[in-house]
Amino acid sequence: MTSSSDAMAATARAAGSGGPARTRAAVLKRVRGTASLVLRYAVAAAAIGLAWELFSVRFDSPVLFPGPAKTAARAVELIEEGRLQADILVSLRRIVIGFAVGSLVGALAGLAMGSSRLIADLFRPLVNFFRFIAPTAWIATAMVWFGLGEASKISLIIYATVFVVLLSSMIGVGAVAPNKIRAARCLGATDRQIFFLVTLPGALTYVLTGMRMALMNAFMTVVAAEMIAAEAGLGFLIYNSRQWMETDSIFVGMLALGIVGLMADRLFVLVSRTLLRRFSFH
Amino acid sequence: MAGSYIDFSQVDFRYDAGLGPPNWILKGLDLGIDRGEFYVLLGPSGCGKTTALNLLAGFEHVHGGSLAVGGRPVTAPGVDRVVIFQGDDSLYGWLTAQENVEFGLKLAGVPAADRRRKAQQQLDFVGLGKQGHKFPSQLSGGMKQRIQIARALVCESPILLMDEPFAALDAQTRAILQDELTTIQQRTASTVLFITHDIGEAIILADRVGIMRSGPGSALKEEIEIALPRPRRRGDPAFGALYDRIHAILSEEVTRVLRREQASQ
Repeated sequence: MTSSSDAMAATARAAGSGGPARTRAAVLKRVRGTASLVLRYAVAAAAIGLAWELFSVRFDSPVLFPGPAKTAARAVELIEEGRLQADILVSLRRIVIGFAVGSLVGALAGLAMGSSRLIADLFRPLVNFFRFIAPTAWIATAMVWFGLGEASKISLIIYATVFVVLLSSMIGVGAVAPNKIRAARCLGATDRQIFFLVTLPGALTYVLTGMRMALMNAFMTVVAAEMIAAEAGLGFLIYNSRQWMETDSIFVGMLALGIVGLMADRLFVLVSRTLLRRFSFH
Repeated sequence: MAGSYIDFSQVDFRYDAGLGPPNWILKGLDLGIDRGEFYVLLGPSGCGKTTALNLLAGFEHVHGGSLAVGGRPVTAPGVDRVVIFQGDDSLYGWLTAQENVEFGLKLAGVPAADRRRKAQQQLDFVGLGKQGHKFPSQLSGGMKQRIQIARALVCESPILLMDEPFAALDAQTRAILQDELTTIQQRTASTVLFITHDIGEAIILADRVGIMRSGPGSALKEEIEIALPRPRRRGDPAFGALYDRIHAILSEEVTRVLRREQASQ
């Protein structure tokens, strides 16, 4: 069009070029970044281990406060017995089902409440009432209503997940810039097109942030749910070990929760960034 | 004005303020814009320029009088009147520049290959032919405004509504885009309603400048034909004379606003 546009395009071409040298530099940068991250994680783990060891020595009671070595030995025993893996898998199954259902319900309800004032006005009082009742307060009623099996435990995780995702999704819809919707209207969009092509993608980062926070809630709730009327799971491991004063097993259960939770969070972030990268651009 | 392509006739518009009296933004606005005309609206802050544009876009509805385009009343937003907004928040950050330009065609159900070709033509037209794969966050402010312009042009919208589109840009980029917009408007023969606070920008772009009174209950105070040949340069003595004339009219209104604000404190 004009010389200025050509100049701008030429600058962009120059910036975009570089070939193999540029690719090599990018790979090196990535490798350095990963190495640095692993190093930082290792330093943090070593610091926690050292502090733990110092506290356990000072406490001077391997039964009440076992050190890292005793806990690691117990972890090996539990793994050899096959108990730790089994408990992790049982808890993970409950978390995955509860988190998936809770996220789906929360996201759909939040998007609906964010998009419709009528729906928001109808359901806001209920949401604001129930979200202040902790999942643990429902343990007894969940057992009465859903029995001692999986349903009661999963229902508690759904409850712990749904409100965080719902609120975050609703806020996400409200955060979509009005000019994005106005621009779509100018370009001939119907209400349905606006929802699926503007509101939903615009709110997606908020939905994902809510899900990430809800994942933490799900991990916390599964322990409470498994402490009562369970025969397996990390919460059961922790609660059952308490009765036999097996503090080392309790520590193993807590460590397993932390490690599995950390891995689940990293996996969630990785999948979100890989599959939905473009939605983090706005 | 009856007979004009865009016709604001005795238009009233208010915002209701709870239990208090209504806040009249426009009262008896008469404004006519001819087909293919580049019309720039100037006025003090809060005088209702953007409200007039929003009414024409179909985002708001008149409370009195009538507003029509080509003889048909404006009742809703439409692809015949595409708005180019200030800033970049109307672009879809999760879509590439190319996909943003294609957006209106996608809504209309145009096949993918056709819309890619048409969007590429418009990207070439606005000088961004090689930037289509980038996301808006990877483009400069000027490039983002060009994407908005391309998005409007690809829909072959006969009317462009521009609400201070260059206000957030640096002076150099603004000058470049003003030249480019003049070229685009002349090539496409679009009818443009352009809002700005910058008198120089108004003289560079406009066929006609409308100056609004200060509110509340604003309307058009005066219109000035800009008969200077293009391209227009700020150093031109005729440019300076027009600038002084518009500045004097506008200053009266701005002073009135300031006095009213001081009196209410």
